[in-house]
Amino acid sequence: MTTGITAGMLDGGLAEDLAAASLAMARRFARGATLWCVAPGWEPHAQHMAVEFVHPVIVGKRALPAFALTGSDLVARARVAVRPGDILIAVAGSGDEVVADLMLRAPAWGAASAWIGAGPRPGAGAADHVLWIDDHDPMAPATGAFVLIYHLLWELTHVCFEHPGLLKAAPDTAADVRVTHADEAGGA
Amino acid sequence: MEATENTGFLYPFIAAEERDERPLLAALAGSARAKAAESAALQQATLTAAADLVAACGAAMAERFAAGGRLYAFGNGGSSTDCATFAALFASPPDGRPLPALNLSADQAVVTALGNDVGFDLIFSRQIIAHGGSRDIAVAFSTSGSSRDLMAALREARGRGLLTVGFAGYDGGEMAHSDVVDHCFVVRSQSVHRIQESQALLGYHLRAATEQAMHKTVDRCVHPDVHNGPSSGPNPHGGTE
Repeated sequence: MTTGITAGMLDGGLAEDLAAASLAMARRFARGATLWCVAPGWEPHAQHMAVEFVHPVIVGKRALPAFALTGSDLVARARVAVRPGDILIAVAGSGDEVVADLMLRAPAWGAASAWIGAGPRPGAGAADHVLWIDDHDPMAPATGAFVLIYHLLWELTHVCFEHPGLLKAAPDTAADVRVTHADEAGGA
Repeated sequence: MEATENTGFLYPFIAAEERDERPLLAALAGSARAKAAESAALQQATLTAAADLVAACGAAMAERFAAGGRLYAFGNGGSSTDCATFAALFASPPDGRPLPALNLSADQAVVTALGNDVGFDLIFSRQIIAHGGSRDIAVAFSTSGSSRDLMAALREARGRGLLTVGFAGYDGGEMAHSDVVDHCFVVRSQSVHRIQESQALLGYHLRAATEQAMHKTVDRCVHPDVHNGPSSGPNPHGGTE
């Protein structure tokens, strides 16, 4: 059994990926986004992400709109729930077909997408922000590693709110990337 | 990583006029690394300090499970989701033997009925009254260690003979000094986030210790479920897992 300790987890570029995802999320929140959280295999992670944003543990940080989507038929439920400008975030392995489907559809709904996971990575362009632990530990969902990732995402997103100049009228490069991806998906 | 020249401190800016995102992105990545290192160091210190407690608590939990007991986990907010993950780790583990574990925060009908009718402080203790017996285990997840609804449930659980386990942060709060908590894990940090990350890892190790102790306990107790292999008779649950 591994100790499951997360030392060095951010060394392979995950820190930079978290920074970019946080700024993109803060920009969307500044424009009124709602965060939709899914984790089909480990639903408590979806709920933990949502409560993190809705009810911040640090007094004085603003409450942000976030919902966990749990239960069955997540694609159908997200389709009616997500509005253009929103953010869709998932915790799941790259083999999760429901999450892959959600991430693929996010651009058509006008949503930015982020995918948290461990082990083999999803294909290039599978989501706007792939926040990945490359070491494959099948127990990662239960060791606190994912909790650390979305805690950091929350903490960094709130740091971005201290930089209002960077939140307004910002180029959404992630959305540009997804146009290409959506085109590819449509042609497949 | 390409080094980013962070010279922003030389040029005080008006935040509303800030346009270059690169210094912020570099600062965010640095902050993420520092927090992750802090989290890992706390996890290591927590596991080292709690090694004996994890083994003892795992052994005590294994005895309850071997006697047919169930585990009831409960917590508030983010801790309610962490206790859900903890319960799921026992009930449907990716490896090892599934054990009966339930999350008392999970059912909104029960939680809101109790909250509305008898008060929030009793949302878990009333469930312990309904479900708990002397073979069972109560596990409370808290960062403060002092949540009133958790303490009420632990008190009730202790009175009914359940094994009581508490997860706390900071200095342990009430749990650390209470005589109703048999095994109390304290993650010594002032950050709710860092506490929860270490509690998750503690929970993972506690389940592994329980699993390990189950093998020894089962060998002693000759537990029927374990010694009836798949070929020894019809499976009453009809499953093949």
